[in-house]
Amino acid sequence: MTTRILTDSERVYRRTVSRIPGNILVYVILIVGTVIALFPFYWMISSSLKENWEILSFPPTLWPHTLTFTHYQSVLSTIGIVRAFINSIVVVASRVFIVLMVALITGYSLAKLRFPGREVLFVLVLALMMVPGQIYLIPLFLLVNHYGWIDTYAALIIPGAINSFSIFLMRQAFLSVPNDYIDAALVDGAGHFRILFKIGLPMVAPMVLTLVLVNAFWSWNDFIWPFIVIVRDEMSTLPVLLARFARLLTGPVGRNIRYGEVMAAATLTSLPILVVFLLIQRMFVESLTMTGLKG
Amino acid sequence: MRLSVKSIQLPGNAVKRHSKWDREAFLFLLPYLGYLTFFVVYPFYMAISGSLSDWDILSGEMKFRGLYYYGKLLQDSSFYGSLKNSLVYWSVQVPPSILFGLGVAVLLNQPIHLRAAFRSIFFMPVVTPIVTLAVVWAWLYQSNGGLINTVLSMVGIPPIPWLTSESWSMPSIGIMKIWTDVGFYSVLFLAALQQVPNDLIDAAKVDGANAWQIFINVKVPILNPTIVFALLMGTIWGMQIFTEPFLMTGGGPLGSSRTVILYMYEVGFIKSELSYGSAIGVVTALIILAITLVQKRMVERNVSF
Repeated sequence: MTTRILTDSERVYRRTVSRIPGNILVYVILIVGTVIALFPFYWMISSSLKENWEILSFPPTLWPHTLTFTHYQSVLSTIGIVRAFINSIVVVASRVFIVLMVALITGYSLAKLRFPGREVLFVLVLALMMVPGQIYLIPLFLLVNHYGWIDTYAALIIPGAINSFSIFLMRQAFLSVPNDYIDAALVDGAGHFRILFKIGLPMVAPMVLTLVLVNAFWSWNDFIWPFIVIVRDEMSTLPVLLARFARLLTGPVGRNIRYGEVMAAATLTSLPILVVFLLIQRMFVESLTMTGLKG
Repeated sequence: MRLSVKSIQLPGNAVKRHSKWDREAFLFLLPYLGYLTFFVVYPFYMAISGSLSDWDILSGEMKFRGLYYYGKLLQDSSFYGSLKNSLVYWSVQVPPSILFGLGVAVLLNQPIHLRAAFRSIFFMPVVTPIVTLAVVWAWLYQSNGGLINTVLSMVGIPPIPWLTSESWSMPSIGIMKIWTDVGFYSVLFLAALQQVPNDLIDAAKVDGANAWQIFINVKVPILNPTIVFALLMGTIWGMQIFTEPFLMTGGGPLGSSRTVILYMYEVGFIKSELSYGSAIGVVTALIILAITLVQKRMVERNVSF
């Protein structure tokens, strides 16, 4: 038995030595994986910076011969991508604001307030989380059409803003706020609205961040709903505009000679969310994985 | 800070509130209840009753038809075709994504440098708009002049009709989605692997187990609930896939990549057959709901172990 007892430095030494060969293989595989993961992004960006002749040249060039921004200039000036960018920002900001406010007050009520039917409402929230959204697509479209909301911000923002999943998240977060805090504030004469925003909000801040990130991500990337309710390019969000632009140029059979522009538009569509992602990677990864239960 | 404040207070609800109910609750719940009424309950009711009636698109009137459209669905070869496509997609995409995700997680769980950087890089496809990915991959996949076939031709492999043949279209979309989903699964499994208690691994080492034995006999049983969760998650996502086939193949050629949701879209929005589209939506939702319930049951059972 005594042979197993090692000093700390021996242990570190053994671990380091035994790790080396395995480690190199691990790095090799991970780097190959990195290349595979990044290559489509690299190809998209590098193609968007190539001149047309080079995009279609054989063999394909990995690195652009001459860097050109003409595709970006053309996309920015002709297809209304700036307007689509503004639309996307407006839609994401409004939806995140609405869902956050509603999730805060509803989640707080479900966790901390006493009202008749609380358990029933919570079970309903849980049940609604499981109902796939596609079932609402046709009736919601008719509803929006009936209200005359086609091609408006209202159609893009209102029907999809709130989701039961966010309500559930906030309810779980508020459960962790001690009742004593709330009771003490009530004694001091504060109302629940003030308690919620002055005492509750700082304590659930991490979950608020998750909720904001996840909802912003969902609505930035959302495609099927905005595609259905928006007809005019001026009201399109970025993904919808990109889809229309790419489909317009690529027939089912025909070859598109304007791939430079399509790739420039594709780059611009993903750039904002990728920049945000790169700035706060850890939070983003954890929020999205934690909330992966909702597709 | 927080602890010290709490410790000097009496446990539980020391202060008695004045009335039985908190009146603010009714005000606080109003927006959510309004949303539920207008955008959940009402459309839900419309979808169900619409699928049981002849639903006129112009007047919005419904004439009760009973289960007519569900009967039609049972005899619709296009619907079965779309279910079969989903099955093809599932077998190409779900098990490999999960296996690769697990593999990457195991690698990332090694004592390595730049773990966070690798994790983020693999996660990039997950956060990128699907439309962007679909557009880029449609080009990579192009039969003539697409990069993948060009590279294949350079090593002497004849071009593959990735998106233009009936046998390849659905698997091609599945391959692209493996590429996007591996990052998600690897983060999921990495988090689960980091929960594996070190004592267990040390105990196994003392007993002379090698890394592979430890993985199979110690880690996999602990990962089991996560694997089940990922499997059912992937299945639900697979059932809901729409944007990729819609943009990359339009569901073709000859309906070979038409998924269930794409079929619902075609019937409901392109052919404007509201009743039939609603019936497809309801049946699809029921299938997904069934998978979700199985998932909850299995995850709960496994977690308690």
